[in-house]
Formats: sequence, C-alpha cells, structure tokens
Amino acid sequence: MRTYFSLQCKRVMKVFPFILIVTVVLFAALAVMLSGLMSAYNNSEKNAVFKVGITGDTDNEMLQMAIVAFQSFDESRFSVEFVEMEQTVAEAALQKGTISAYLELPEDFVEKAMRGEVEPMYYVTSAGADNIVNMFKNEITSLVTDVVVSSQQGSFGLQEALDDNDVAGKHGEWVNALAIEYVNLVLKRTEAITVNELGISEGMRTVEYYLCGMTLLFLMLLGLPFVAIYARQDRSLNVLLLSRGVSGFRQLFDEWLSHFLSLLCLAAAVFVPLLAFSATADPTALQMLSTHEWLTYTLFFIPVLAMVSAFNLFIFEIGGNVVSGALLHFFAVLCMCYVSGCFYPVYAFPHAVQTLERFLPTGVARETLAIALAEGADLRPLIGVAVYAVAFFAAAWLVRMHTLHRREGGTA
Amino acid sequence: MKIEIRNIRKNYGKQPVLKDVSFTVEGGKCVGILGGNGCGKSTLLSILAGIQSADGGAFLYEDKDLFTYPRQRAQLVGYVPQGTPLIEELTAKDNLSLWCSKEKMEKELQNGVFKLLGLDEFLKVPVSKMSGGMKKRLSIGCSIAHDPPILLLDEAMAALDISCKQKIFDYIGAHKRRGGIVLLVTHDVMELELCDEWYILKNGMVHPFDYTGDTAELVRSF
Repeated sequence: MRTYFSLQCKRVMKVFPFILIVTVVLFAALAVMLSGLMSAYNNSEKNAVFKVGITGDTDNEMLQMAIVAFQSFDESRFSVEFVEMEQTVAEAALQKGTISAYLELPEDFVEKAMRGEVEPMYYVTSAGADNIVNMFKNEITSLVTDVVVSSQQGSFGLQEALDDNDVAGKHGEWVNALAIEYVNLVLKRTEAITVNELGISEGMRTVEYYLCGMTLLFLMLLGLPFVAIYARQDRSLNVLLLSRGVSGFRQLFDEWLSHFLSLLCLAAAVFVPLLAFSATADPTALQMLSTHEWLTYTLFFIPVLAMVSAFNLFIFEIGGNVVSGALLHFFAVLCMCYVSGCFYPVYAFPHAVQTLERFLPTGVARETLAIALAEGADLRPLIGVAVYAVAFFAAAWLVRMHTLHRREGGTA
Repeated sequence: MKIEIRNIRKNYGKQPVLKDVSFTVEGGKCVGILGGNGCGKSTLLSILAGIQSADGGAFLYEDKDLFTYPRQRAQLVGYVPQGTPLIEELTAKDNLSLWCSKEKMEKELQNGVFKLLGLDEFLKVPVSKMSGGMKKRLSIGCSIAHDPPILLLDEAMAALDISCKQKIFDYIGAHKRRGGIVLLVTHDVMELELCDEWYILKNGMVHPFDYTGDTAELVRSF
C-alpha cells in the first residue's frame, strides 16, 4: 500500500515536464517585461534631477562662487541640484534616498589645488545611481577638455603676441614651460575624484541586492504552475482520507512536503541552466560572487522554498479553483515582492512602507537570501522565515478543514 | 452483526440539522435515507464516516461506540462521497494502490470486488481520460478496498448509465449476501428498490417509511 506522500510525489513527477515548460515560458515573458521596464526607467532617469549634497570645507569664496555659478549658469543646473549640508546629515539623507550622492571636500581643497597639490575629494553614492556617476564623469571630462582647449588657445595666443613683438625666439621656451605646466595641472585634475559606494542595504552592492530581489521573485513565482495540481474544487479525496483516519494535518503535510521537494527540483532545473547560460554568454557575470558565496547563497534557497511552498498551499486553498488560485497567487506575489524591494531598493520607499516591508514574508525571505551576501548579517531572518512557514501551513490547514466541513455539512 | 445509530445531534451554529436521529440496521440489510435537499442526509453520513463530529449521540457496532474508537471505525466503515476521490493525473492502478496492498489488489482484480466493478478493464488508464461511469466505479473501488462491513453511499450512483449502475448493484447485492450493511443516500427510484428499509429525514428527525413503489406518496412525505 502506497502512502499519500509517495502518490503526491508521483503525481507531481507526471506533470513535471508541463510545469517546467510553463515556468520557462512564464520567466521568459517576465524577463521581456522587466527589460522593457528597465529601459523605460533608464530613459526617465536620464531626464531626472539629481540632488547632490556638498559637505566638508566650502568656506572658500572661489568655491562658493563656483557653486553659485554651477547652480545658476551651467547646463548641469537642469540635471543636478547642489545642496550644502553637514556630512552626518548628508549620510542620513543618502540612506533615506532624499539625495542621490554627496561630495566631501577636504580641508583647504581650493587653496591646495591653487598650489598644484591634489588632495582627492570624495564622491559618495548609494550605489544604485550608476547614471549620476556617469554624468559626473562626463561633466569632469568635459571640464578638462575645456581647460585643455582654452589653455592651448591661450598658449597660441601668447606665442602670436610674442611673435608680433619680435621676441618669439627669446621667449619660446617660456611658452612651452607654461603649456607643460597647464597640461600637468589639468592631467592631475583627473585624479581629483574618488568614488565610494556605501551599498544599498546591509553593505551589499547593487548587483547583489538585485540578485536577492530577483531570486526571491523567481522562487515565489515558481509555485504558480502548481496551481493546476493543488487548487481543486472537488475535495472528495481529502474527505475519503479523513474517513479512513488520515488526519487533515497529515494530508496537508504530505502535500506540503511533496510540493517543497518538487519546488527544489524545479528551482534546480531552471537555476542551474540559467547560471550555465549566463557563464557562457558573459564569463564575468558569475564572478561577482565567489564559488563559496554562490554555494552558500543557494543553500539559503532551502528555508525560503519551505516557506514559499507553505505560502503556495495557503493561496491555493483560498483560491479554490485554478483560475482564481492562479490570479490570486500571481498578484499576491507581485505586490509583496514590489513592497519588499525586489524591483526597486526598499530605501526608495516611504518610511511606513519600509517598516511594513520588514514584517512581510517576502521581506524576511529577501533578508534570508541576503545572509550569504551581506556583511555582518545575522541569522534572525531565518527565524522569521520559519515562523511564516508554520503560519502559512497552519492557515492552509484551517482553510482546508473549514472547506471540508462546509462541503460535507453546509451542502447537506 | 448490527449497527445502532442512537440520538445523534448536530447543529450548525444555532441551526439544528440533526435533532435526535436514531435507528438500527441489521447485518445483510440495505437502508435508504431519503429526504429533501439540505435536510441533513449528507451530514448524517459524514458524521458516521468520521469527517465531522456529532454534538451528541452514539454510533454503536456490536455494542461498541465507534465515535470513541476512530481507528476501528476507519476499518469498519467504507464511505463513498458524492464527488470522485481520485488523483486525476494518475492511473486507476495508482489510485487503488493508495487504499490497498499490491497483493490484495491483484486478488480482488482476479476474482473479487474490483473484478465485479469491472476495474480490470481500465487499470492503466489515467483518471483524466476516464468516463464518468469509470470514475465512479473506481471511486467505489477505492472506498471499499479495505473490505468494510459497513458501507455509506452518498448519492454514489448519480448520473451513471444503467450498465454502470448494474455493476454497482451487483456489488451491493454481493455485499449484503456476505452479511454487510449498506446505508444509501439517494433520490433515485431505481436505487430505492435495492433497499430493504427506508427512512425519511425531516426536520432533523428520521421517520420509518414503507416504500411501495409509489413515488407520489414518497414526495408527499418529504
């Protein structure tokens, strides 16, 4: 005699090829949609106004004049707004996302620059702002080009003036020395900026943050094709099992275990080829993490998938049939993943949403995935994931028992 | 062998569905439970099958209350629900394997109840490709695979063609001859003729009814 668990596994294996195909199609469609969204986002970002903080020694009159000039006359005033502030305030503002970056000017920056000494100023960003980094680099390149061209024009003008006054032969070496001095000063300016990344969250780099977010979305959506198996209107099988002494808890546990194992298989069947494809298409793509980090990272899939499988069963129990179950699952996953910062950094959201995100199942699941990547992360999110797994399972069990009793009694 | 249903009560919230249901069934008898829609017939069977608990009363088998012996009840009672308790993606053989051992299945297929129900004709067919009659015969096969002496059939033969019904009638006849007990909830006149005793469930109480084949009289008594 076979157990309910073994038949559930066999059942899933029978439809596994179908589920795999649906999953691949689903993710291909999502990839197209996301790339479209990213493209639209990048285009809108190009026209966005960045707010940049200026901290450090800004007392110099020349510098003040330069800031005013930048804000009033330069073309950059349409894309950048400079705000003077204390460094601690700037750091807090950067974490909250109210500024895109801040510049930290060292002591006597202008005076030292005038003497030809270069002490780098620090450009601090939240890492999610690649566009503003590029924009700054372009701005500096443009500035340097202007200085070089103007210097050359000045040098040639000076040489022509000396020629006109018949002192060219005598003073040619002075012009050359002057030009070389210009060039040296200008070239040193390219070393005058250093970019530091604070990281978006828990010290993670942008790419790591989005790896966690996208992985969570991927794991959550993996359960969608299983709606055809678990969302049923006819609960006669569960009724018969109850009458034969198999409790509702035991039935649901067997279903959860088989679903969890099938999700693990499906994740492996999709994730491994995806990584292999990424490595083939771009050999540097996987080098963002070491082999050890990749292994640790995938290890944390297990608790997250345990929670996801309980969540899926709960949603399918509520859905009651394939269509409503699929719709409910899809929109619940998208909403929770959105609020949990899978598409945008959570720090871009208002404080209330950030607070809510910390308590959402997707929030703790994302933090669990981040354990392997974030510096100094603790294992507390794992407890949250376990609590949610138990809570979803219990909720699914309550809905199941309510449905069975209502079906057998309410329609008597 | 006999069973006694004694003073069973059940409320849904404040609404009483079964007030004081009592009757006795001797071995080898088939009892028809009749009544209008929503009168509590399915509730009564689901209580006897252990799916719901009663608010009071007893289900006695050989003077032992099966409500307090759930394991024995699971062995003694075979419940056939209204729907199809089958796993759609699997074959008839896979479905039967959930309810009986391989040896038992082979024995029953050769010369037992599975043969009687004609399950050997579509053993390797997935449930999703079966007709309604095949599914119902398989459902009954699954429900009685453990050879229960007490059978509870909840509109088990609804919407079946005559040849399918005949196979199930043959099985019920054989079950009665072996001394088994059948409780049958039905609205079908053809099935009523299979029964030896009839009870009408009305206002939460059961009333004995002597069915003579007069359908009009039956309808009046609802």
